[in-house]
Amino acid sequence: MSEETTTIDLEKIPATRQQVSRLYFAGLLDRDARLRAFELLSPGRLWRLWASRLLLVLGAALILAGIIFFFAANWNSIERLVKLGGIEVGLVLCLAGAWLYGLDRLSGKVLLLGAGVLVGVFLAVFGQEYQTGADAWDLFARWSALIFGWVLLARFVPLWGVWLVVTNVAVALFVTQNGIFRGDAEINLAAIHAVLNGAVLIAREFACSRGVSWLQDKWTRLPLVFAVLYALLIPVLASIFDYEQEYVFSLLIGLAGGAFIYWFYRFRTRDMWCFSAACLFWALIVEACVARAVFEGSQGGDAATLLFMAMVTIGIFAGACWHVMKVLKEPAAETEKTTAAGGEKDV
Amino acid sequence: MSEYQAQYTIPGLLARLQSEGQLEDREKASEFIRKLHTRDDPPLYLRALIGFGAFISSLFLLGFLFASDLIDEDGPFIIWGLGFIGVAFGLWKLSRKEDDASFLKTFLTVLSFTWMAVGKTLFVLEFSEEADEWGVFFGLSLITSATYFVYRLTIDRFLSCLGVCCALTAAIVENGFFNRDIEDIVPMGLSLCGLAALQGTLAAYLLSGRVGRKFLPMAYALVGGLTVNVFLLTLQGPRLEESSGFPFVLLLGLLLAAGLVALMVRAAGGRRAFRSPRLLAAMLGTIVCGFFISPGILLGVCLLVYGYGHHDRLLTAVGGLLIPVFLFHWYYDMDLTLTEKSVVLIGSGLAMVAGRFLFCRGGASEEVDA
Repeated sequence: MSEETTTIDLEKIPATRQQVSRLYFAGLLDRDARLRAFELLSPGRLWRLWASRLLLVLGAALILAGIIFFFAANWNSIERLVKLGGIEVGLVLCLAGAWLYGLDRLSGKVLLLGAGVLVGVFLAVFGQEYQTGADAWDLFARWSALIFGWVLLARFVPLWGVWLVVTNVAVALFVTQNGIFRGDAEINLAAIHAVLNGAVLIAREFACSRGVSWLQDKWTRLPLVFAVLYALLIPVLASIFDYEQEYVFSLLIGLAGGAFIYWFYRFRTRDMWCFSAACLFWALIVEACVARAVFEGSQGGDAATLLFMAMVTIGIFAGACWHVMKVLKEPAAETEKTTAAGGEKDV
Repeated sequence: MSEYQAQYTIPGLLARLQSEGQLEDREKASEFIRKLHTRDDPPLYLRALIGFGAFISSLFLLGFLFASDLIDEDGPFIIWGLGFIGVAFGLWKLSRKEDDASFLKTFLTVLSFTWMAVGKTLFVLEFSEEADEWGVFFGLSLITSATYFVYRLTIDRFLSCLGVCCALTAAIVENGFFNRDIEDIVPMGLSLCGLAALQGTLAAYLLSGRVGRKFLPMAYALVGGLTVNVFLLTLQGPRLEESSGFPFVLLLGLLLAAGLVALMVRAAGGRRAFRSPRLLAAMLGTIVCGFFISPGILLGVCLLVYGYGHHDRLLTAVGGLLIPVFLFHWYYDMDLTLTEKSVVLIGSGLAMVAGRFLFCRGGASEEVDA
């Protein structure tokens, strides 16, 4: 666990610039070989491709943020027609650009993302100008519904991200502004977020298993898994420390969701990051159960209880780490099968 | 990300170099890399789990020490601290004798890290009692340098170094922010800018491969410290500028822009970069951005570029996260009006898109299906 591991398979170690430098400074490569290795690892062609895309994505992000900042200033001196017309012109230009470039190219996708954001800006400014009296959730719900078709068409993860954030905000505002859950029952909102994001996660995994290429990168999974586990954990911890009758469904969703994620990323699609997150989820639940039992029994934090809790915590987390280590050493049959079939890359 | 990088394994790269006559002894090079990796720590997710457990249990353990009156507010913290650190070191030594996959080894590692965390906290408490705001920095520096090379748990090395960086920033800030004397504010702001430059340079040096892998946790901690510094200066800079008249945020922005230019020059193969008019224009654009854009956004771009160039996913991810965070933070920056900010953002965005089209015109983009 600390430092030494015995068997090293060099085939599994990706070559990096740092390793080349280490070989050079150890005198195992000469200057020319080092430069050649750098060239092989980061060819100028790929550097330029990456830089051009970075410029496009960053540029688009800054322009969109600038547009949002501009309309957030709530200009009274600008004519209503100019404001709404300006946004509409931008929207149409973005859509025309996306159509022109096509959705197979990054430029087209980024333009469609721009159009998606401008729909929200338009709805917000429309609400400001006409004082429609609609609740904030209504704006986000319309925004989410209006761009959903583009989201499906674009096959672009950042646009999915924008849609998911907008939809989560719409749901949260709908629940709070309509008083669906009152008082302690507001904890149930976390379970609703977990179900919503969990459904997207399941859709992502299903698409990946069918070989959908644009979703294969691991980074498209991790934030979703972390968000779902966090949302599942809230009602479970709330139930452990202060159970109310209203929590029962959220508690069941939390436990079932946590178990499903554990099973899925251990047995179905091996992903050690997600599996470790699931282990952390269960470790925290066990920790909370023990803490509640011990602190209730001792009527407060006396010294012996605190010492006991320290040792129990070490035991629980050592157990979790040991379990993860054991799974790490197990053969990942399913993952290999998927990779061989051209599906998701081994993680 | 993978589509933008050539994918080579170590044997693949060495074989390629050998076939091109660039490498004579492939076996020796392979052995060297193998030796580097035989000292690998467990994966990052396992270290995070260990860290979580040790953090929670160290809080309970500290609570126990104070609740049991073994330690009161007068200490003696230093004796207890050194005692805990000694035991932690012993436990860690013991854990190394166990089999890698055994529960006992994992248990001893978490236990050892918990005791180390408690020991260092107590040790530092003694110094904070003795020497005001600088005490934490000196205490933590002392104990970190004493344990760094003997207690080889990466997560401890990283957190301790990050603690030292944050303590130094806190000590500098406390002198300037809270004293509010104008003569203190300017040196404090300049010190923070200097510290940021130093942290960035040192991190780049430690990550370059010139020094051993044991310095990697220190390098990442320096990046963390740099981020904290930039965040603090971006947050407080406008107020400090108001009272002292010195443009701290501008200075920091220019420093980071210079760092980004250095990274661009390095990526373009050194001095050759100055012969390319397109790259010269890009460098000029970057320096101009230093005047207007939030330093945090520039830091994010620096980390993205460095991470990409060095195949370092962690730094790339941190850079990618910092950009939206600082963009969001900039929205609430009271120094500029929303209109001014929107003009700066739209202007910089348009400049970047224009720069991209310049690239494309030169045939550099070669846009493939995304």
